[in-house]
Amino acid sequence: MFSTIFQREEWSLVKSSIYDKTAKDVERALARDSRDLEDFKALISPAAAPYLETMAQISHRLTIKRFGKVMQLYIPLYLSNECQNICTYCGFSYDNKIRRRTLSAGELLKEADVIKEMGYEHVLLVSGEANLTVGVDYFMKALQVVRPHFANISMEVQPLDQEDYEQLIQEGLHTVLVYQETYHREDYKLHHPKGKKSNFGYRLETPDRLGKAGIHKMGLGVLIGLEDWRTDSFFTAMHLRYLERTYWRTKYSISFPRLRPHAGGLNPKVEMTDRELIQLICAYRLLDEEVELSLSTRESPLFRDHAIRLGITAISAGSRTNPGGYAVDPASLEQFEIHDDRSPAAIAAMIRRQGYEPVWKDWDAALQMK
Amino acid sequence: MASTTGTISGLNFITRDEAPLTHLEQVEAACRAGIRWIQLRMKQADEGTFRETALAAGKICEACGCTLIINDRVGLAAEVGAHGVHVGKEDMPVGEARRLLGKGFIIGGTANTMEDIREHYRQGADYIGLGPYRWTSTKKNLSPLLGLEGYQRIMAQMKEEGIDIPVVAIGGIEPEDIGSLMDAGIYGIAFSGVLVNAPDWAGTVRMLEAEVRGGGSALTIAGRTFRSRLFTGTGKFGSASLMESALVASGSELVTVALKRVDVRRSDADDLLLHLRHPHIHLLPNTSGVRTAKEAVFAAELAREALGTNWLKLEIHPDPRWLLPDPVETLQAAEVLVKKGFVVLPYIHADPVLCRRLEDVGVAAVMPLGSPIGSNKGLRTRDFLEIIIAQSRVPVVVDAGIGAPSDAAGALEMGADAVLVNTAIAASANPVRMARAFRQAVEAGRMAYEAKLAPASAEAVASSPLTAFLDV
Repeated sequence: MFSTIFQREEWSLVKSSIYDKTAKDVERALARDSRDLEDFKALISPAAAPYLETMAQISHRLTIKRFGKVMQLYIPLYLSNECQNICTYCGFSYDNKIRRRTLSAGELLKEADVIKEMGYEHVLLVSGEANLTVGVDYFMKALQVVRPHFANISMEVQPLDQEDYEQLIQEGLHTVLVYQETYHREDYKLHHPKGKKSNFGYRLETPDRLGKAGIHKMGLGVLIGLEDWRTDSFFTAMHLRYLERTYWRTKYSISFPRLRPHAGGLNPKVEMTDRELIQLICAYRLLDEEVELSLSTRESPLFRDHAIRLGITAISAGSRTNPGGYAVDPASLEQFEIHDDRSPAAIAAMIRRQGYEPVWKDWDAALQMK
Repeated sequence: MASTTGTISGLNFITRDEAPLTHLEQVEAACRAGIRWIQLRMKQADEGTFRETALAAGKICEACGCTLIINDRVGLAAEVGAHGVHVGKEDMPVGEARRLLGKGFIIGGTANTMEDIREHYRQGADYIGLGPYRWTSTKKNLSPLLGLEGYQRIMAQMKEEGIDIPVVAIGGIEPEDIGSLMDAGIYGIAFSGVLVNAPDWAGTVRMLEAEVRGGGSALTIAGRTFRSRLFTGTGKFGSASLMESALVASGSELVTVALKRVDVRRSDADDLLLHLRHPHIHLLPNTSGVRTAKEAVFAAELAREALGTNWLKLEIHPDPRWLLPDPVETLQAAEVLVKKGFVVLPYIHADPVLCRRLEDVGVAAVMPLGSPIGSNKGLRTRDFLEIIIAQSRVPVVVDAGIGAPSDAAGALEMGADAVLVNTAIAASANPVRMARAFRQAVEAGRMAYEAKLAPASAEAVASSPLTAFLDV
C-alpha cells in the first residue's frame, strides 16, 4: 500500500529539499532522457522558474510524440450536491445552507441527452458524498442509465471499497478520479473537520483499492491552494510512480484544480500563479511521457488556449458544476465557478485552429464487456 | 507560379480531347490522383477557350504543387504563367521558344529520330518526348513506330554521343511496357489514354508510379495483393483531412484504425472513416485498448460487423505505459480468431519462438516491433527481427518504433515484407511530405533487398595476405 512508503516521508523535509534545488539540479534534470522524482523536485522548484521556456519546449515535443496532435474532450455531469462532509473550500459542504438535489433516472437521461447533443462521448459523473442516498446502489443505477449513451464513463465521487469499484467496473465504469486534496495530514484535518472524508488514511489508500479492482484509468491530483503546491505535487508524483509500478495495467491522469471563488468562500492559503501552473504541467510531462494531463473550465480561456500545446491531453468544455445544470435545474447551486464558459463547439474550433484534432471518442463499451 | 517548378517528373500526364472528362476535369482528377506533371494538350480548342482553361488549370496545379506544361502554344504558355511548354515537330523550334520565353521556362520537344534529339539538344531543350512506342489514337499524324528496339537503339546512341537529357517515352505505352523501357534508360513515361479511361485514377497512378520507379514486387497477404509495402496508422494526426492527405501521399493500401476511435454504431457517418474512403485503401481494424484475449475476441467481432472486414490487427497490450504486447493473451486470442475466420495480424514482441507459435495457429502475418511503439527509436530488435525474417513462413511486418524513413528502408533491406508506420508520419512537422519520404524509403529498401546488397566487409583486404607464403 502507498501509505507504507508515504509514512516514511516527512512533509517539512520534502519541502525544504524542493526549495533547496539549484539551477544545476534543474539543468541536470533537463538534460536527462528519463527523469526520476529528484528531477521532478528540481523541475517544480523555484530554481526552475528561469527555465520555463525550455521545459515548455520539451513538454510540447514529448506530448506530441506520445499523444499526437489531438485533444480529448470530456464533460462533467453532476449527479448530486448532497453531501455529509464539511470541506472548508467546497460549495457542496454540509454546513452550506443550500437547496440539495439528486438527479432521478429520468432527470439523468435528460442531462445526458443535452450532453450528447454537444457531441460528447466521454462523460464524467460527479457527486458529493451522501452514502445513504447517493451510494453504490445509486451509482450502479446511474451507470445503467448512461452506459448506452456514452463510449467512456468516468466518476468523481467519494472513495469506495474495492468490492464497490469491482461492481461499478462491471457496469461499465472506465475511470475514477480521486484527488487527495492535500498530502499534508494536519492541514487535511483542518479542511475536512467532519464527515467520512475526514479519514485521511482511507482516502490515501483509495488508488490502491482502485488498482486492485482493475480500474482502466485513475486520476490523481491535489487541490492547489490548500497547502504548498510544490510539496503536494511532489507527493502526487510519488503516488503516481508507486501506482504505475504496482498496478501496471492501469492508465493514469493528473488534474490541476486551483481553488476558485465559491459559495462557501475560502481564500487560497497559497496562491499559484499561471506561470507556476505551466511549470507544474510541464514538470509532470517531463517526469512521465505517458500520463494524461487534464484541464478543467476552472481555468481562464487565455490560459487554456495556450496550455493545450504545453502538455495537456484532455480538456472539458461547456461544463456545469451543479446537478441538473444542463437541462433539469440550471439554477441549482454550483460546486465551483466556471472560468471558461465557451461552448464545446467553440473550444473544438479553438483546438482545430491550433492544428490539433478534437477527439470525442477514444473508447468503446465493447472493449470492456462483462 | 514558375518558381515552384520541380525536377522533371518520371510520370507525365497529357490531357486529351477525346475523353469522358473535360480538360479541366482531367487536370483536377490527375492532381488528386497524385500526378505532379501535366501537359495541357488541347488540339481543337480556339485561343480564348484555351487561355481560359490554361488559367484555371494553372490554379489547380499550383494548389497541389503540380508542374503545368502547355502543348504547342508558346505565346500563351508565358501569358498564363505555366511552368513550361512542349513543342511538337511541326510547332515552333525549341531555340525560338527559348528566345521568347527565357531561361526559367521548361521547354520540351517531340522527337521521333536521333536527328530530332540532336537538334532539340543543340537548341537547349530541357527534355525530350520520344515516340511513338506503338500506334495511338492521340497522334493523328503518325510518325514511324519505335517499339522497344527503337528506344534501345536511340538511348544507346545518345549515350555514345554524350547527349545527356531526360527522355520521356510517349505514345501508346501500356503499364506492362514500363519495366523494359525504364531498363533501356528512359527517364520517364507520358500517359494519356491509360489514365483517362481508368476507373480508379489514384490506384492507376500508384501502379504506374511503382512501375516507373521499379519499386519492387508486390506483397500478398491472405490472398490480397499490396503494391505498397508501407502500412500506416491513423492516430495522432492534427486533423482528419491532414491524415487523409498524408495517407494518400504515402501510397499505403492497408491502414489500421483503432476500434475505440470510430463510432461503430454509425460507421457510415464516422468522420475518421469518411476520410479513409479511397478505393485503394483497405482498413485494418485494431483492438487497441483491450487487456485480455477474451476482450480482444469480443472487440474483433464488433469490428468485423461494423467495418465489414475480417482483417484484424490483434493488439493486446495491457500495459498502458509502454504498450508492449502480452504474448500469452495474444497467442490465445489469435488461435480463437483464426478459427472464427479472421485474417489475423498480431502485434508482438520480436520473439522468434512466439512467431512460430502464431504461424502454427494460422495467423496471416506477424507484426514484430522494432522498438517500443511511438518511441521512434528504430530497429532496436534487429537481431531478433533477422531471425524472424529468416525462418518465417508468413509475411513479416515490422510494426512499431520506426522513426525515420531510413529505419523503414533498413527493415525492407533486411527482408521484412512491409512496415507499419504511424507516429513518425503523424507527429512530424509535415506529415504529407514525411509520408512521401516513407513511401520512397520503403520502395528503395525493397528494391535494394531484391537487388541483393553487396556483401559488407568490416576489414579492407590485406595487402600482404597472411597465407601468401603457401603459394610460393
